[in-house]
Amino acid sequence: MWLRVVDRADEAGPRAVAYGAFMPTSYRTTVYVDGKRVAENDATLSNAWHRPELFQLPFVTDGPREHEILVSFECWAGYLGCIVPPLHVGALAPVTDFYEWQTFLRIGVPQIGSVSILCVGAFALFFWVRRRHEVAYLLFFCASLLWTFRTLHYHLSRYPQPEGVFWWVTINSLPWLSVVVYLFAFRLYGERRPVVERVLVGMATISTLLALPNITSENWFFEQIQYAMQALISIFVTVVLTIAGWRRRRSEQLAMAAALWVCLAFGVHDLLLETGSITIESLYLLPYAALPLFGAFIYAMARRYRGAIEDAERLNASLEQRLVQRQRELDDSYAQLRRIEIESAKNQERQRLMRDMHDGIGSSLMSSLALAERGHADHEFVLGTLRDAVDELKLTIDSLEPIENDLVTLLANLRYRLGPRLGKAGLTIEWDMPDLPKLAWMDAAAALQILRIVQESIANVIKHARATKLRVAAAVIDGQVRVTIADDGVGYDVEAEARAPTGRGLRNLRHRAEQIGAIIEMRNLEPGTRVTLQLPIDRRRAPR
Amino acid sequence: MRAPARLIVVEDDAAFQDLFRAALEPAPGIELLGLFDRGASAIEALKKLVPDVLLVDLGLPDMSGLEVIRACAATHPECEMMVITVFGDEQHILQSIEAGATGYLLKDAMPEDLAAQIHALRAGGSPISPVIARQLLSRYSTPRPEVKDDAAQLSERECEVLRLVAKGYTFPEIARLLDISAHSVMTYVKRSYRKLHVNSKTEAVYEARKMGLLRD
Repeated sequence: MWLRVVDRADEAGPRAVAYGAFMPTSYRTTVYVDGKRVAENDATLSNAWHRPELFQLPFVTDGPREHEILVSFECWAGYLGCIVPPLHVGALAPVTDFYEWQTFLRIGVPQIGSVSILCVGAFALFFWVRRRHEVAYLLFFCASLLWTFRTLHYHLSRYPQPEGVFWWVTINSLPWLSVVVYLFAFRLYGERRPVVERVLVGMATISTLLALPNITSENWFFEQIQYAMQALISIFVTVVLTIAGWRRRRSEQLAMAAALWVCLAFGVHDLLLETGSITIESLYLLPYAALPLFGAFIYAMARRYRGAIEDAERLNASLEQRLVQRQRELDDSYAQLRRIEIESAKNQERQRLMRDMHDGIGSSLMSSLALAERGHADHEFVLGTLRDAVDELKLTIDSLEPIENDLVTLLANLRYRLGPRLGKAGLTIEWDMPDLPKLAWMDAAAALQILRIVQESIANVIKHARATKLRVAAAVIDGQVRVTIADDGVGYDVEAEARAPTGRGLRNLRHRAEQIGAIIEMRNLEPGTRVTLQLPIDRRRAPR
Repeated sequence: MRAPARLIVVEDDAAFQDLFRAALEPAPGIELLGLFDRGASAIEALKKLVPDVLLVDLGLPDMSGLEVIRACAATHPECEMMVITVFGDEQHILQSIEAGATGYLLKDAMPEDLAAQIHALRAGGSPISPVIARQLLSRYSTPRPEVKDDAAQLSERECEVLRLVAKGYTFPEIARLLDISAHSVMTYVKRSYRKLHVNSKTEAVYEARKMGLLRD
């Protein structure tokens, strides 16, 4: 096919001829000026896909003059026929501007789009490698890859060989891109629609297989079916996404649906362009669809990312709050436990004191009161009873003093109490009190028993022994604290007492000693008597 | 011959009032200045009277005997103060000593020993039980950061005496064991009482500073 143009230059300067579109493919173009061949393009380059061309003409116009320019296109008259673009002939500078602008729009923009999308896709891939369960990021990477394949032919100046395979890959990227967009839009929400997904994948597979024969030879029939299926898949995905996004008010899905509508519109435009319904000088718009489509992708991912961060922050906040609350609950329950412990200790102590009062002071006061009421008690008896009661009370009080398991202080305080009375009884006291280990087991109840045992032993000496000296000593022997109370009095028949224990006193002492895990022994000395109280230091290892 | 000990008694129990009168009025070397049954009237009287010895029951109807002791300690630092107590338990005695008392009377020790104990107290002999000695030791034998005044710490000798008291030894026994006079033993005990009183005052100041009630 030939185009003839007459160049009438009005101004001086070099001249050029350019055209902004060229299709469908592999045209060899030859330029003749005034019947002379001046230029041709390199037809061995498979670069012809709507790639602008610029030819500098070999003449300089220095006055009004006419030149005849003939451009020959070796047109392959395929199914679409032969469409040639309008020629722009004129001064070199404006024609070059035109050429460069066309090159940018047709090659630069698709290049920039592909590279940017691949970068974002790589970012998503790295993200996915670390977070394998976030499949949406992997899908985004796949989409970016597919998009790059789909638009590769817009800016490559030399197609990879074999060219049939290249076109097969390029053209079939589109249905898979639709599938990926669909998967992405729903996986983003963790949704799966197995049936729809299977149908889509099946259709994309069929479409891809149908295109296989085109690798070796172009087959118009298969190509049409294949394009029809691609269109079907794209429309299906677009409609489904639109409906789903609209129903659930999902801005991400709606954004993607909108982008797909734009893609569809651009696709229709490109189809019309290809069939010649729109001037050949127009642009292929599909590469421009990258902007809305991947804008929607990035929007969706950014929202998801922001949502994840906000979720994490909310979670942290609520965790902190829950931690504080749990801490408070724990504190409360500890406090309650402590209260219960204290309460129970108080209760035990109260019960012990009640028992002591009831059995000790209470009963002795009651019996003397009964005697006194019947007139059987003389002054001395009443005095004696009251004194005993006060003594008993004092013992109880002393057993409650904070002496921290210190037997020495316990015994010392007893001596301090009894000292004046012993002096009045004419007894000289020999006191031998070394440092003693603390008795961890000695609580107030045990302290009271020890006080009673020692006091009764001393009282026995005062009452019965007619002694002049009383020796109270303590020592540590064989893991035991041994407290001895010895007098130089008349002594008494220990053997007889052991055979038939008549004295309430001695039986009482034994009983009290048993209660605290101690052993009491009485032995006749010549002269006098010795009472030995053996207290275990560690009651868990007490001899039985 | 010493001047008689001028005495004020604060006791609300009528039986014990009678008992005090009966025991003290005829006692040689003792002059009973007044006997009060309310803390307020005793504190009022202390503005005019200058006693050598003050006997106070802790459980008065209108206030704690501790307040009478504090009032007397503030106005009559030379006055010996004794608390009248039923049991001589650690808590009551320590509080009284902190308030400024230097001795205590057990109610059942009366009446025969009453005059003797008053004279003993004037002679410097403060009674001390092993439990009290133990408490004094545990409180003041180790230096404490909030008490800056070294003089308020117990001396080594005082600690030694208190340790023996806590083990149940009597003053004469302690004097023998430490090879000092019985009077020195009494002095050490009384000094440790005074230190408890002083410390309780500085501690009150320390606490007040901590709470911002007082400025440095």
